[in-house]
Amino acid sequence: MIACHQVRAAYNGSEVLRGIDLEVAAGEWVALIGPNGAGKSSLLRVIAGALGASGTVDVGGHDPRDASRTAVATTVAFVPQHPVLPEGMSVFDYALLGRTPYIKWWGVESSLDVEITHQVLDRVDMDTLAHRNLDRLSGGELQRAILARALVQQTPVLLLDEPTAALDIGHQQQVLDLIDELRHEKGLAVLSAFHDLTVAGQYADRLVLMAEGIIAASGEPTAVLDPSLLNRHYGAQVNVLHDADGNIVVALRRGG
Amino acid sequence: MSVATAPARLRRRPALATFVFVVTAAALGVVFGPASLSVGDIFLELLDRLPLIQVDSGLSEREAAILWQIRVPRVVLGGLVGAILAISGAAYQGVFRNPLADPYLLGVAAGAGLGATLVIAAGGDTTGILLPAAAFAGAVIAVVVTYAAGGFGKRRNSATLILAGVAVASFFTALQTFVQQRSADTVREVFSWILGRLATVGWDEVRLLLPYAVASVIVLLASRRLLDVLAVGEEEANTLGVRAEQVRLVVVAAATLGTAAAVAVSGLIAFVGIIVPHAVRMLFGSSYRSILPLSLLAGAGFLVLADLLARTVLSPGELPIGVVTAFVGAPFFVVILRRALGGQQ
Repeated sequence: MIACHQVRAAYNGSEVLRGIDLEVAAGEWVALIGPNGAGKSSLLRVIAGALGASGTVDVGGHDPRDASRTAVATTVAFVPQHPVLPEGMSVFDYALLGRTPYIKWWGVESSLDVEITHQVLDRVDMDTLAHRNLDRLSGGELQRAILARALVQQTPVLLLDEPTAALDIGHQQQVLDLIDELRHEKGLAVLSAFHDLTVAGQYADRLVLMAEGIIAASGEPTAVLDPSLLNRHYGAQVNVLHDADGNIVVALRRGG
Repeated sequence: MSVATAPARLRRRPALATFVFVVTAAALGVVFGPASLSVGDIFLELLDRLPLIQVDSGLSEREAAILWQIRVPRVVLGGLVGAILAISGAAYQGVFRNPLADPYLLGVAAGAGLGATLVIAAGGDTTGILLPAAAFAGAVIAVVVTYAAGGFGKRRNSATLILAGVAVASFFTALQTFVQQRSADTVREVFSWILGRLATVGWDEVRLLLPYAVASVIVLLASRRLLDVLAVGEEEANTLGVRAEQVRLVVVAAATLGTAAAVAVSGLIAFVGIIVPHAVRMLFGSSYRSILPLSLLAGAGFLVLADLLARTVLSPGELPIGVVTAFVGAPFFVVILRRALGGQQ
């Protein structure tokens, strides 16, 4: 669903992506990891059509740089790390914004749009809070409302920038499990940026380690979550442990 | 359990409340004035104008002329100007996501001021079409210059546009001041224009303003759903399939045409474009789907009432209407602001 070849991009005059090759198939979850400033968010923005780039970018048959905004918005849903939350807007109205690409300039939402929004809110367990204002939600509820807006777009590709950075582990698990279920259920291609390497390794099929605008390593979690590799690119001393279920745990080594 | 929810839309009660406000304001505006006409006679005279109804109002020819050539056109003009300034202010606030945006933001006021001053300084006819035409042209030119200066290029966004508006407004105001200071007579006339007035005899101003007002209002009302989409910011609006810069251009163009036409016939009337939309927002919620139509109605009613005060307080003299809108509007706004803050705690 996503195919990038030799993607280069600059932001505020400095080159943030320096030749990225990346593919994500339908039903696959790929996680972007890497230190701050590695280019993870920039890559997501290029694929979402929010940042210009050179090279080849194909998302569901569209080039997000040339295709109409509507075509891109019905193919890719993007959840930025810090979405702008409109003051005084209800959860329902916010999620309903996800139907925007399906409505003409002068048009209004159809009963189908309303129906879809209700179904999604139900799915993310937010239907009882549909009337509540965004500014009165807890962190976990807010993240689910934001996810709901992306799901209401009904796109085959889902881009998530640090979807759980602000959540406690209970809510992290809830949101990530939900995304995991949905991508299996609907065959979504999911590309997300993560800081938490343990979480990334647990949920993603494949990890892509980015550093200074290039891909430093990619592959299955066991291959990428390697102490010396992580040390080289993050400058961190870590232990990589395997629990009884075969999950990988990346733990910081104190005083390393 | 699923809770049935409809999208945010214009709800009946606020719509009814603002509608009653406009009708009341218009009725007061028609009834009160320096010449005393009986309420009953005015009612009958208005009724007589309706199709298929023939009644004798009992008004003399002179009284009927006062009603039809002075009071009614003035109320209609005030309503139109107030409606345009308020809905344009609301639209500007939405498109720039800036609560302090008013319809004069991108240089309309400064441009219109320069246009009007040039006519006055040149000794042109200030009673005919020349003055509003020059003001209108100045306003439109100023906004076009602002857009050309700040709206294009690689890093265009609403902040650069607002900054360009500040620069253009300063430049036009400097030119205007230079022209006006060269003659003392001009200064006085320019200031009376700048303070705003709805002085009108007959329907000429209404006829001038009406086509722009109608076109502007239709485009703005049709775009109100998109203003809610822009509330998530330009980049996110783009990822939702909306070309934010295009919406901004259309909304700014519509609001500017309407405002320029309003300024051309009424001068600069401060404050309406800011306080009316904010009062509506605080009273009836923050969705532009309701803010736009409700601002339209509330702005019309507000300016008709302000004009009523302007022409009756010092009767037979007149206060500049801009003085009244600020004098009455500011305390009223503070009351609403305090209520809204109190409600949040």
